[in-house]
Amino acid sequence: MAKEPLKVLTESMFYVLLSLLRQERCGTEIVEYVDDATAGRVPLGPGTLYTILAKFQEEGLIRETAVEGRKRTYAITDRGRALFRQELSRLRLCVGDGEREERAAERALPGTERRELP
Amino acid sequence: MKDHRRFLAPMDLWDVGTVEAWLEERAVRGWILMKWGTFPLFERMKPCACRVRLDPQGQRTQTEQEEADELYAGMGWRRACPLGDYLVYYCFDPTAPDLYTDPATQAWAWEKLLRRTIRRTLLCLPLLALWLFLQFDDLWSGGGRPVERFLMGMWAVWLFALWWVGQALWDIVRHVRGVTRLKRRLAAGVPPARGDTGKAVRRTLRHEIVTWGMIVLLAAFLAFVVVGRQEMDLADAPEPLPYVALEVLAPETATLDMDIHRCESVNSLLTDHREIDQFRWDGQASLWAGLDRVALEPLAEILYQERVDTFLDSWPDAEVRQVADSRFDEAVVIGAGENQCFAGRLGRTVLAERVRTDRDLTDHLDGFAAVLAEFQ
Repeated sequence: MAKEPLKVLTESMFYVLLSLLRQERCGTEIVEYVDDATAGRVPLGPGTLYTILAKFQEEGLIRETAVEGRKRTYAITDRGRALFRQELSRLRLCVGDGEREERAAERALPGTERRELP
Repeated sequence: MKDHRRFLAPMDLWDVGTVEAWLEERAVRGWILMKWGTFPLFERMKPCACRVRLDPQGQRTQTEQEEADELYAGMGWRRACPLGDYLVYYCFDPTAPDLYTDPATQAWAWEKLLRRTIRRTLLCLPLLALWLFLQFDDLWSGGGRPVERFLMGMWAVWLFALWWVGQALWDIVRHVRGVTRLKRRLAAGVPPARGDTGKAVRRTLRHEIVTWGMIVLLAAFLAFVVVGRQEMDLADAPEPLPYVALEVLAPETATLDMDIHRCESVNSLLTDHREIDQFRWDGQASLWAGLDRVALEPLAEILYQERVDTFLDSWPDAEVRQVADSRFDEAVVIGAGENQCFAGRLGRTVLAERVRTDRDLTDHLDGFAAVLAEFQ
């Protein structure tokens, strides 16, 4: 059975790709970057990071660029960039939908409150 | 104070949440895992609360594993030892992120292992069936006198084989069900469930007691049969002897010197079996007699039938005469030239005798009836 390619990224996957957009990084640098970028909001466990890196390599989203001892450095590929952009657009749509709905809810809210008053 | 100690561990390795919780409990009591097994080896450490996670081993090379270990160690997770298809990691830093912070990636990490576990477990089924088939080979091959073998002690071995296979099948069912549930949980982004560790250990204890109890029972039974088996020269055998003697059935050959004349007795709980063999290598004289006092009458009936069938298998063209005599529940005289056979049953006792003679054994029904009556 053919494997389903990645279509939607989880937060951890998204930030791993994000961390490689501007420069190549090794595992610990990716963790540090994600921790700084999200102010600790998105924790990246070692099992999660290792699995993501292995899966991304398998899917051709990243590639290994250097090996120094036990340190491996990774770079994003064109395919990875494309998936990142696709995910970014999806998130923008989500955010856009969310904001539009929230504005509509805020406009509707005062009326709703008045109706609920005795 | 001992620095190393063994504890009885949960046995269901697919129940990873419970195994993790159990290892965390050991750590709180000051023990860290050194080597896994039914009684895993632990090393003493300072009692402390920590997190323990089982990580699927995957198919990493040694270098890849070392790199992963370094990465894990840098993030607060220390590898203890392998545990089946997993690696055990301890984390003593409460601020360190969990081993898996993203359920989707955890599902990826586990996917291959769970698939492999199910495949491997299901592969056990045909192997179990083959093993069971070979255990009961005597029943299928036809030439092995299965009833006699069953009564003489194989009943215990076959019972053990059935019990063992039943237990293995039950374990396979639980294993596949557990792994499937774990797969579903991980796919849904839910971490492995943590069960009652005390209950899991008690289950292992029960399993060990039953398994070893059955093995000890089987070994004790086999020892009882082997030690209780007696073989002696016919002249030394205690009276009364369970047969009609050669001197009576074939006096013309009884005067010859026999190469073999022995008496054997075996008690296998289901039957008290006695056997007499007398023969010359040159074939001029031979007698074989077997008497069984069987525990249950239905078993005696099928043993009798097997004795008759065995005679008929050896001499298919023999003349068979059913004996209608109130002193026997069933009896038959089979004549095949120089080989004459008698088989009779009275209650739970079965007597079979084959002798090389051309005399008619129906003349000796009194003797056979007396033996059966005496050994009731």
